[in-house]
Amino acid sequence: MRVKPLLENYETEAFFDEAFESDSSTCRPSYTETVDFFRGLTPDRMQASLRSLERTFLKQGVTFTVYSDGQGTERIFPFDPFPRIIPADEWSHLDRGLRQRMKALNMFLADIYSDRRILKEGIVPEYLVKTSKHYRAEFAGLKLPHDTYIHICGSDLIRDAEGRYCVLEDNGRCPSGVSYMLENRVAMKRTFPDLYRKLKVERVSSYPGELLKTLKSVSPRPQDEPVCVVLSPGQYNSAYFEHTFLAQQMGIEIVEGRDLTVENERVYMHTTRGLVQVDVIYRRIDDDFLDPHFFRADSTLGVPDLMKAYRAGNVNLVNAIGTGVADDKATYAFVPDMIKFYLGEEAILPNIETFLGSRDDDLKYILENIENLVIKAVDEAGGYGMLIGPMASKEECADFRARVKATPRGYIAQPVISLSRHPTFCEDGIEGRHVDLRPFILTGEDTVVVPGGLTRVALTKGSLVVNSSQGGGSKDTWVLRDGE
Amino acid sequence: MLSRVAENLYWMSRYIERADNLSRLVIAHQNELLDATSSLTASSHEWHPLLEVTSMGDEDSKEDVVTYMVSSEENPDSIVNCVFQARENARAVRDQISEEMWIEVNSLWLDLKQIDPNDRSRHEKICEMATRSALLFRGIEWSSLPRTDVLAFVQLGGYLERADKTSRIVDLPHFLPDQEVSSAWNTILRACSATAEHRHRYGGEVDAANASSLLLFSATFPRSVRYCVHKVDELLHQISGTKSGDYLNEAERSTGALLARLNFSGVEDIGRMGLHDYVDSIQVDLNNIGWELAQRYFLLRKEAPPASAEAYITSRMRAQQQQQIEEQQQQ
Repeated sequence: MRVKPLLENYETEAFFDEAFESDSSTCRPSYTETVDFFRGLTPDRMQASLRSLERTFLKQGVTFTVYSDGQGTERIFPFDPFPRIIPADEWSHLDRGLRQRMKALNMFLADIYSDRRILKEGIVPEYLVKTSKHYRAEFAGLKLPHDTYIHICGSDLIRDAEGRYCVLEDNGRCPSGVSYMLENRVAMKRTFPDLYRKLKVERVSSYPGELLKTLKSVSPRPQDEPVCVVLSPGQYNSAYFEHTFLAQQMGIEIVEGRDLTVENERVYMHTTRGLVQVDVIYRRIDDDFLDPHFFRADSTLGVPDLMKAYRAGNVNLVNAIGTGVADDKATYAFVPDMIKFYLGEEAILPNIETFLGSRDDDLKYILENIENLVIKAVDEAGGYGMLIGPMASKEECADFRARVKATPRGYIAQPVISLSRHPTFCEDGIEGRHVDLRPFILTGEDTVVVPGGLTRVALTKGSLVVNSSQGGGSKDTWVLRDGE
Repeated sequence: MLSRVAENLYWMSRYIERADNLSRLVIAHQNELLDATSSLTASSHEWHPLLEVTSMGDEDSKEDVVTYMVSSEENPDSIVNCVFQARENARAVRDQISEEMWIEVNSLWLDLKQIDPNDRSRHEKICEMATRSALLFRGIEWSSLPRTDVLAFVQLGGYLERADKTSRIVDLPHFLPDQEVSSAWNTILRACSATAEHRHRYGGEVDAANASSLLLFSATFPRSVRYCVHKVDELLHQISGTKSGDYLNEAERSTGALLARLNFSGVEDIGRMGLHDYVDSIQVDLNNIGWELAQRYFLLRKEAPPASAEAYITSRMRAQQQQQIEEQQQQ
């Protein structure tokens, strides 16, 4: 019996494919070795590798938790072993674009919480900032180390039909997924060592060290050896694995709210030998849950009076309070204007064309064309609160039309971008599936973009939703070293 | 070390030890029943003494006692729930323990869930896996944990739980009908992995006085109450840096007092009080030690600490549930 080789009848169809030209058979230069390698593997061998990969992830507890069934079931984040490959020149373009964007976003936040120049000059409408759900007027005037608000950003990039990289959104609150980038790499190196060595891939393992350096650089007591901690909601959080993973890799404590206490506007952790002062908190808890005396009173995840210590400048939070304005999807539309305003440059990475519900002309357009647009709630994440017009039923469209009409400020619309596709292991061999890319950008005293990122893949045929909570998986992302 | 981390390490280890001891007891008792009756299906009342000995309750209403002890979800101390708790505690400190230790505890939990609920030898399998895994756990503990408070709190939990369980198992005769008492000592020795040691010391005949002396007062047998309390005493002093014989906190004082009692006691002291009352007094002391060390090392937070040992256990469970609930709200 003849075993069908992998990739025999691969079809790019009408999409931009990461690995193949539009004729479906000519391989892009950066993918040659990888495609040859997978062509040489029998499906049986491949299946065996897949199974051993899955078992490894589960045993090590590389999992996330899904609460939709009410019980909280642990699942492994589905992993696809066909790596996404980015040539060096493409990466340096992304690297420059992301740095520029981070700089502008941090200047924007420092500005709106101090002089408000950009609002006074009417570049960004003031009401947009004021009505943003995550705007924290009460923290205006706070002076943060290096004027950095977003220390850790995970911006989502996609490629359109021409293969152009665009920014889909900026995650400036508590972006997650970086542990998968690191664990995926470990798994890939173990499973396909020969292929990996042949390609000369940039390392991602420097991330935890860079993260710790970033945390230390924004300590309010930089002269001493700062005490940094990871603040987690605890082991029932869906990203708990990531919290412990990062704490362990950085060699710092992972704490929960109940481990911390505030006295004299200083934050301390309870140890078996007494109280130890904490300088920098990498918090993986949303603003709302951080301090029951200041935000939600019913939260037990947070630390009472933490905000007093923060305002007194005795502790720094990573990311800062109030960064959510920058990842409001309506603010997103103004990032190219911010880049021009603060840096006098054109945006290196373009935005997706965005229609704001809050602008009258746009609103009219959205309501008339809802069937052809993607509608997003401005303050939702994780693929929730979203409508993909062409794939939605009449009722769903009507429902969203009513919602947009009721609260126009709460919604934006974008044309449907057919994300690029990438060869992916599926039931019947390797097929094209839509992907995006989340690189991680660190900013403290300096800005660092670790060469790599989390490539998320929509495993369901035809689907454009890559979120792990909605049936997405991930791939290792290989940035090739320059000149090789 | 964070108080919460110390607490999780301690409870992880206690639950592993608890699962292990219950498993040994179930297997040993089943083995004895096979000899005593000709039928394979032991009737429920024959298992009730085990419920009482382990303080899991004495209600007659529990139809299937073995299932209740081994795999029931309603029983917070069933073997499967102990493994679950050990794993939850391990998960909360997985950055503190070795990779090998986490994988062992996590694998045991995943493997237990894989067992077919209709498998007729399911209970035996669970018990064997739990016991085997506990041995591996202690090996991993010894060979991979740093010689710091990490190892100290793990061992503290293990020895304190083991002392408690050995003392309870020794008390099994109290809950048996008279005609079964003499053969019970086989079960007891077996449940404490002490059969060979007893034979080695005293020859072939199993004797209540010898057996209880071995399990309560031996200075060298690793599951004897005296040995375990001696280790607890050593570990508490190591953690606080106090010199042996002295004490800095209530936990150290109580442990020292109990150890002195065990060091200078023998079977004749049991005779005066009766075995049941004697081990009962030991258990009261062990509970105190656990509660005092929790107050000294774990419960240092601002909010009012729980008022008693029982309230402490319930409050830990409640904190877990509260976190789960808020987590869902946040999503």
